[in-house]
Amino acid sequence: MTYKEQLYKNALDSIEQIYKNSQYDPNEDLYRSYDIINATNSAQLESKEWLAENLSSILKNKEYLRDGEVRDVLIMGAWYGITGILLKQHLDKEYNIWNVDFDPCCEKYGQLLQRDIKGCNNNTFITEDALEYFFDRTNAFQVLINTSCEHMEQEDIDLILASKNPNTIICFQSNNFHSQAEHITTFNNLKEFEQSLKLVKVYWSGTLKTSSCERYMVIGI
Amino acid sequence: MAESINPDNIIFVKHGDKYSAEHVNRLRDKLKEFYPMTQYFCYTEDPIGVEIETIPCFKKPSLRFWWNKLAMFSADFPVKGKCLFFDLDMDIKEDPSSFLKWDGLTILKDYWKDDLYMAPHAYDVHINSSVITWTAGEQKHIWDHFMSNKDYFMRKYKGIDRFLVHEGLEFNTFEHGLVNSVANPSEWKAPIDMYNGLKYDLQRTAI
Repeated sequence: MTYKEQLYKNALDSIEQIYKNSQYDPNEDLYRSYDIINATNSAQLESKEWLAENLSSILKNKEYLRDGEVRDVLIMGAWYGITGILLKQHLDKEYNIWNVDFDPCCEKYGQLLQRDIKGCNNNTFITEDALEYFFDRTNAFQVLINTSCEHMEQEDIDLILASKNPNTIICFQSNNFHSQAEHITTFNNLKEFEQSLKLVKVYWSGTLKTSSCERYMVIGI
Repeated sequence: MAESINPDNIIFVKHGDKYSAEHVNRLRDKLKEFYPMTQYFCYTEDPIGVEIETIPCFKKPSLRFWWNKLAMFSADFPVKGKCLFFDLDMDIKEDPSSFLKWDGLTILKDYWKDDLYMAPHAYDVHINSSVITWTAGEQKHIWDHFMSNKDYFMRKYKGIDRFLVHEGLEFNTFEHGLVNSVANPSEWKAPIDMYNGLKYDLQRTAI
C-alpha cells in the first residue's frame, strides 16, 4: 500500500470512528469528520506535496544547511499533521518533526492519520499554542514550517522571524484568499508575501495556483 | 410584556467595507429619538466618518467581519452596564423598548424558521444575533470559549449565531414582534425592519 493509500484508509477509519461514536455519544463532533476530509482533500495534499518536494530538495543540499545537519523540524499550526507525514516521505534522514497545534483534537486524529505509514516514527504531535511553544525553545529547530500564515497576525510572524536562530530555515506559506473570514493576513502576490518576511536570503519561492486562490511559498533564512 | 428599561450603551460593530460610517450615523440618529441619554459606541477598525465614540478593534486576536461581534463579550471590552447591540442593516421605525429585556444574553428568534427542518450536522439555527442585549462583563465566558479554539470554531460555524447555539451557550430570546424581516415579512407591525441577508442600501433623503 502506498503512503497515500494508507493515509486515505486512515482518514476513512477516523471518519467511521466518529460516525460510530456519534450514534451513542451526543457530544461526538460530527464536523470533525468533514474537517478530516478537508485536511486530506486533493487541494490540501497538492499544496503539502508541493512543500515537501521543494523543501526536501533544499534540505538535501548541504550548501543551505549552515548549522550542519537538520535534526528537528517544527511545524506551527500543524492541523492533523499531513505536512509532516508527506515531508517524511521525501526526506532520506530520520528528522524529528514536531507538529504543534492549539486544537487538542489535532493530536488525536493526527496520530490516527499517520498510523502504519512508513517513516512516520518521530513525527510527534503536541497540543499547545505554537507561538508559545516556539518562543520557549527558539534555538531547538533547524527548520520552521508554517503553512497557514494567513491565519496568523503579521506581528507574530515578524516576532518568529526576529526570534529564530539566524541559520534556521523557514518554509512559510500564505495566499491571496482574501474573502475567507478567518484569513487575517493575506497577500496579493508572491512578491508581496516574500517582502513581508524580510528574509536575509531567499532560497526558493513560488506560487501554486488552485481553484480558489493562489498559494505562495517562501523558503529561506 | 415587561416594563421597559433603557440601555446604558448602544453598540454597533463595523468591520470591512460591507457597511459604511453612514450606516452607523443613520442608525444612531434613529435611535437617538428613543434613547437620547444612552452612550453610543462603534467597535471598528475604520473610524473615519463615524460620528459616535469608536472603540478600536482588538489588535490580538485580529478578527474579520461578523466574528468581531463576539469581542463585545470580552472582559476587555471597555463598557459598563446594560448593553444593546444592533446590526447595521436594521431600520428603526418605532421605539423598540417594550420588547427589550436584560436577562442574561438575549437575542432574536427567527419567526420565519419555526417550521423549517434543520439537520443537526448542518448547524443551522432558529436565532439571529442582529439585536442583542446583555450586561457588560456578565457574558465573558462566551468570548473565553471562542478563544479556547477559535480557528476550529471559525471553520466549523458560518457565523456567531451557530457558534452560540451549537456550543451550548445559554441565551434567551426576545418575544416575537420586535423585528420584521424584510425577506420574510411578519404578520405584525414591528418597530424594526431587518434586512438580514438582503443588500441594505441607505435610503436617499429628500433635498
